[in-house]
Amino acid sequence: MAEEIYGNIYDIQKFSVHDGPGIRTDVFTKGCPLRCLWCHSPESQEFGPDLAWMELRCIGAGYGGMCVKACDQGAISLREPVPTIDGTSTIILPEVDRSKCTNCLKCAEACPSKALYNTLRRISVEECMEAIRMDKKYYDKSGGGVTISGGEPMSQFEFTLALAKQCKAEGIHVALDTTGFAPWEHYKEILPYVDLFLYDLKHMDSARSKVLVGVPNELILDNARKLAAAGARFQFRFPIIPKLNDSEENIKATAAFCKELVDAIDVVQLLPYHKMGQTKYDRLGLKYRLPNVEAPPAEFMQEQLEYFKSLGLPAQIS
Amino acid sequence: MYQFRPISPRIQEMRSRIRNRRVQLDSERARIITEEFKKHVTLVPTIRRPTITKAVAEQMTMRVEDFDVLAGNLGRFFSSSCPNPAMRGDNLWIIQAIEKGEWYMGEDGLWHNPDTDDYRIMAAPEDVEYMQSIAEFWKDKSFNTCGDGWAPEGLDELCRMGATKHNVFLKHLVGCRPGHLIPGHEKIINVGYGAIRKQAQDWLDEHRGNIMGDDVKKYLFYSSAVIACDACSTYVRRTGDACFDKAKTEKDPKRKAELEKMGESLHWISENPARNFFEAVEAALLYQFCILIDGGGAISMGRFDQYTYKYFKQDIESGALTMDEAQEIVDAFFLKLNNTWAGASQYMVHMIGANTYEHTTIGGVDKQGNDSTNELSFMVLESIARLKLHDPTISLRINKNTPKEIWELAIETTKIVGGLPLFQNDEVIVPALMQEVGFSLEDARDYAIMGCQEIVGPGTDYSAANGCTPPYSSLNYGSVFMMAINDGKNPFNNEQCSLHTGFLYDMQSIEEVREAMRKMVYYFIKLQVSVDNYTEYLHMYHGTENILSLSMAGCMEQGMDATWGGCRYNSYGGTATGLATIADCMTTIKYMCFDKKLCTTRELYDAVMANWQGYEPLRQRILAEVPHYGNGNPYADMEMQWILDVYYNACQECYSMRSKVYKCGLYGASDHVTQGYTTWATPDGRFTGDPIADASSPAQGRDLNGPTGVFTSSVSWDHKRFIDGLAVNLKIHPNAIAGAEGIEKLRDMTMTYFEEGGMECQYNVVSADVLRAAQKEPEEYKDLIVRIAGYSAYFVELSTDCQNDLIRRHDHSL
Repeated sequence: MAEEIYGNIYDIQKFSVHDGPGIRTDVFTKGCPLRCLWCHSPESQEFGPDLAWMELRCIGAGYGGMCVKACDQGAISLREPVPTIDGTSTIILPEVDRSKCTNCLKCAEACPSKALYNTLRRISVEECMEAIRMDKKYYDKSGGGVTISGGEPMSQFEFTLALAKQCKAEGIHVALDTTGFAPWEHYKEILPYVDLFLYDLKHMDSARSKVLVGVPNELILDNARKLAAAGARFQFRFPIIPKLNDSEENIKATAAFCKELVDAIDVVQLLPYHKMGQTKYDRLGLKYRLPNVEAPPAEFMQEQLEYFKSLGLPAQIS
Repeated sequence: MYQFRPISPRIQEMRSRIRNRRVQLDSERARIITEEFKKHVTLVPTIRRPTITKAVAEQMTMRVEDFDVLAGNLGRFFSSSCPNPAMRGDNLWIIQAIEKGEWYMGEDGLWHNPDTDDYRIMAAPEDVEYMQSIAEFWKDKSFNTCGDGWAPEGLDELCRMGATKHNVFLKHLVGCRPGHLIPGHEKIINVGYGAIRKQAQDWLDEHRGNIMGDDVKKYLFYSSAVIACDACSTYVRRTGDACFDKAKTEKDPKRKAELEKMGESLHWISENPARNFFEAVEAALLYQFCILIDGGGAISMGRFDQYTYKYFKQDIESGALTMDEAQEIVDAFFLKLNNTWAGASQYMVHMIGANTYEHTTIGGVDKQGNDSTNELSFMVLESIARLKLHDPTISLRINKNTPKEIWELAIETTKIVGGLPLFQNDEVIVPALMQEVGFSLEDARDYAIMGCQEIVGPGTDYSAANGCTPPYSSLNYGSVFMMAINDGKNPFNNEQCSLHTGFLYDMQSIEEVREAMRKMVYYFIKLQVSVDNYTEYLHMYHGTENILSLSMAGCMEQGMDATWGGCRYNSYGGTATGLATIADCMTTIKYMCFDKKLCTTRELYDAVMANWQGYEPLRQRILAEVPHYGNGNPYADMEMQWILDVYYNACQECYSMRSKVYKCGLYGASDHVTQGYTTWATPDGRFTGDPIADASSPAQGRDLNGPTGVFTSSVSWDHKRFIDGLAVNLKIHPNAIAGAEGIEKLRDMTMTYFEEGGMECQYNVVSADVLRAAQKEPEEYKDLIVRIAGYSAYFVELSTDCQNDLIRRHDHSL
């Protein structure tokens, strides 16, 4: 029974208009086998819960410091007072010592404003469907649907498969946003329920891939070829990260790979690197790993777009 | 991408004059009115009013600008502020501001408003002195003082309790002019003043020496109609004279010929129906100006693209007019309307905006039900977008056959001019007018939008939208709610009303809270409408609408003024803004005190009465945990449905001498801000003085599920019941609707919402300024979603650097 299958997610996002065609709902599953250096969603990485702290929501310790009291490990201390955002008074903010924190999340339960919170949300397929169904008419009108994203949704295969099946059964278009790093058998099994694969191409050299994203690329590329042969439709996504994967050689190799599968491709998206995920690292007490990399220049992106297009690929910058 | 037409040099010049305008006080109209009034102090008001307006038309200074494509002026200056003391003798804010020392004398010898104000307004000492000299005379003779002698029961309580704006606004029972509707511009164009005057004169001739029974009312009406026609004809003819005068000294032969042609046309339409597009547009514009000179306000323009279309088509087909010439006329029309803004104090600009309320409606179905979007619909949007006009407001009517191309232009326009056009849904509004107000199908299909968002039949409907004396019809439901849970005492001012409903801490169930609120809503709506009904009685004697009644279907036929019920349709109504705040309050009480039992009613009561001081953890818990209206959550939406039921049902028990229907509305200029100022803290976590929710939108920062969540909540209740008008404001980031694909997605979303029963929506495409404001006040902008390559994010949750980056990028992209 679909209702009994649970998954771990970190967000559901409505009116998503950039992750596949039409108006969509994105379901973001939690946990990923990859560790891309440029990852803009660090909360998507761990399979288990994360304690996050959003400064903006924090009302300070002036009301009793409930988080400090809730912590058995003595991991939360108080900082020096700082001015509030409107500058009218001061606020005493907590500091989480991550080395002492055991992720028990008692502080998050105690926090009235949810400044401290658990990024993981356990959800059943049916609960997920309730959120998805709400916008069914909007999908139908616009040619949209659901995008199951992550993390890596294929890492929670049972949940992802059940969700995709249920969407299909209810006539909802399904896009699967995947790294490609999962067993072929799983892709084979889910293929009939997925209308479109949003599929990342991060680096064409396996050794470099291992360094940049933590895993080699053979399985990823192999799955893509097999999926294409089995009739899958693709929207390839090529994140362009200056100095890491923007060499002429890698761009040519990526384009050549796309060219090889061109018949299976709807769109090739070239995604310029951005640093917008940086605050999320702060919230989790993690270090941002590419502090010195800047977004690629617009002219450079334009050149790459022209190059992809010159090969007859349906490319766009997103 | 939509390709806009070029802007002609003289339209550019006119636009820049308006853009940099300096509105100047002009006492000429006040002088003519005062002198004429003194001649006719004892004349019955329904004859006196058009008599005075005719004198203004005869004596006022006429002017035509070098760049004028259309002629017509209101005062001695290009942008004039012409007080009408017969309408409102006191409260001349310019004089008061000068007397208080708020203005300064400039080197040019003129008084100027403070440089820090948003708009430039000035006054010559002689105009100021004249206005001061007549203040004493008018202090008890103006229309707005006609209700001061005797206060109907209930007025004192409404004022004392702060339930309406009676006490804060103008300090008189009678406020605005009664004419709050859309005149029959179409009739003036197609019939002309000569034929209307003849109809009146024929009746008078026929009944000479034989006025029996109720005919005395008709006698007065037709007598006033003859004078009113003369006033309008005089104004139009003298505008034509001004064109000929200007032609005499014009050196350029082409312009000279044009001015002579304009003069000839105006002379023709001063008596006769229009013959071509230019004359049709002038006839509509100059009738509008006659109504403004007569003292009318908040009068909208109706379906401009429909009532001028047959003339446009005929001229284009015959080759008498090119598309570029037509566009220039349309441009000039909207600039002329924009320039009727008479200036306002900074306070009023903040309260109601610098707006003329000359709302214009385009598109939609015709009387037979076919989509009637035409070339002029496009031209109107082009005028607004190319000239970047925020005023007049434009509504685009949508039906299932609305062409794709106008969607594209409309969304492009929205990007340039935030929030315009408003999208109105024919499929909901047409049946709603039939159901709620008794319109015929044909007339319902001809609806247009007036003022902010009020739905009326142009030229057929004395709609008195937002009540007979707006803005008094807006009850402050935030305060009403606080009285309901505080035994009838308003915690903001500690005043006690006559009705006692008990205290929240004694209430044992959500049903008891509901019952208290229901009683309080009924009590105040009926109290307020009772006062409104008395006001309407005053209008019938003191405030007949003679010039307006010439064009309103039913008035000339029945010999009955619009204020007496002469129009084909009669209704009135009010508006409730911010009911989402009330819904969230109910949900909070239900969730926290009864369902989850997370606090007692006593704790919640104490916290609210303390304006949350010392209760921040409880407030935070409410904000973080309680479901809110606007997210498609049935638990929260149910309370909105409930309060809307109460409001609707209470209105069903109200009616006046003239109207059997009291309409409900869910809109209101900036009411949510001004009402918020005087509303104590509320159980939903709102602080004292903070705004309440805007119109029918979710409370600020509470909708966290995007636009489809807002729409899902919105269509969970029946929009058709709110036929006085309804507004749903949505903020959209430009990136979300970038490119052809983005436009399609916004259209698809709107269409889906409309198919689900949505009546109206408007999109605020967020500007860099909004992003900057969001940085300063993150609490207010919690729901602001920005698109970042790869994913969407709440703007306020991004780091300052990211925010700055977005603002920078934003500045580039526009």
